[in-house]
Amino acid sequence: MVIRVRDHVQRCQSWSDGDVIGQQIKRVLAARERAVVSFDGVGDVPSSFVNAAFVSLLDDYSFDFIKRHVSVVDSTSQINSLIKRRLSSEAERHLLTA
Amino acid sequence: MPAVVVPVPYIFNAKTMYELIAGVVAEEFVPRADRVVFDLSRLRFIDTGCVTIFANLVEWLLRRGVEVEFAGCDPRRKAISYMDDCLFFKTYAGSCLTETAAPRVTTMPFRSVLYRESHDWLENRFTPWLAGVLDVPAASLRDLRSCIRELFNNIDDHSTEQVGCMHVQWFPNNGNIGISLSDFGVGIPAEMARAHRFADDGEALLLAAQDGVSSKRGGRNRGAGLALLIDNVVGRSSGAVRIYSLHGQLTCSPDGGAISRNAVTVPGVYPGTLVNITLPAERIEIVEDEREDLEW
Repeated sequence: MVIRVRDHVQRCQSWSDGDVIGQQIKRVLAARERAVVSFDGVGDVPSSFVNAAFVSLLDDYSFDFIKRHVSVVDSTSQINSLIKRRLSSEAERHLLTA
Repeated sequence: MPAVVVPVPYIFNAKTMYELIAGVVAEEFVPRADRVVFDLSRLRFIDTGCVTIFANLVEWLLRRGVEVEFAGCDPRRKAISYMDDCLFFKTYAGSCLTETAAPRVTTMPFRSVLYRESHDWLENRFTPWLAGVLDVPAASLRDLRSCIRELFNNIDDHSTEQVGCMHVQWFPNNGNIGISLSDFGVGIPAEMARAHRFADDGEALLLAAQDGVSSKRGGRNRGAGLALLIDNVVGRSSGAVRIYSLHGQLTCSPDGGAISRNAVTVPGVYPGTLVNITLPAERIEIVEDEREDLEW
């Protein structure tokens, strides 16, 4: 299932914007489908957006599961590197506190 | 309450700003008078970042019903002329000092930006202006723009005013871009005190700049914003980040391949937070608007 970010939020600026996308991803994963998140038309995002949209998935899924079931397409190097950095960092923290 | 006349320092920079602020903001973070006259007759040099501070200070007073006036504004002095070209007097005194005053090609004059307007302002004003000045594709500024977004999100999270004053200056002589963003919220140390213990305001800033340290217990934003800003600007681009908040100052600068973080606590107080970014333009990677898929 493709989730085109711009179909759901006007901008990718805040935690609330990211939460809208996070809920969409969780809905798709709960239906046992693969989530394909498209950043078509988006150039950059801040960490708050990534935290809400992607890092919050760690509350329910492992990092490995996320890597296997969530794809990010039509994106930019800024967005991709921030998603990887934030997820890696928080997944490590989850392991340490588990 | 009688009017107070506040002399603007001979050199107005980050060191001398405290005396100006102390002249108008009392210890309890309330205005010292109902009417303030800023006397600029001594002013000979103003740091570009201090235009932001001055503008934000005036905004702070106006929002509290204080009448603000300016004296000693001789446009023949370069510092005054620069402020006039930044449209400072047009904004706060009703008109420019001279008919020829206009923003310089290398300056994006201070502007108060509401948080809710910051996305559009960054996309439609900041990016086209800076890309044009530096003659780089707009896509090259994504990393820098995301850093500014982090700061606006901090303002939204931590400031009661939800407005930031931003000023951007391109220095062709040394190749640096200077960006100042200031708010008059409660300040980072006050926010940090809700969830952490620290010895002084300098240590609070040092703590706030660490990855994963949030001012809120279990905070949604997870305390990544300032760390990302410092990594991007200092670690990857050899620039500098200076943060002033309440009695704390934090200077982050390149140190070999590492990042030097120098925190101090000063007697003066900055009511809110000021972030000064210096970025060497040559370190901005030129990229076209190419799309890519994430590879885990």
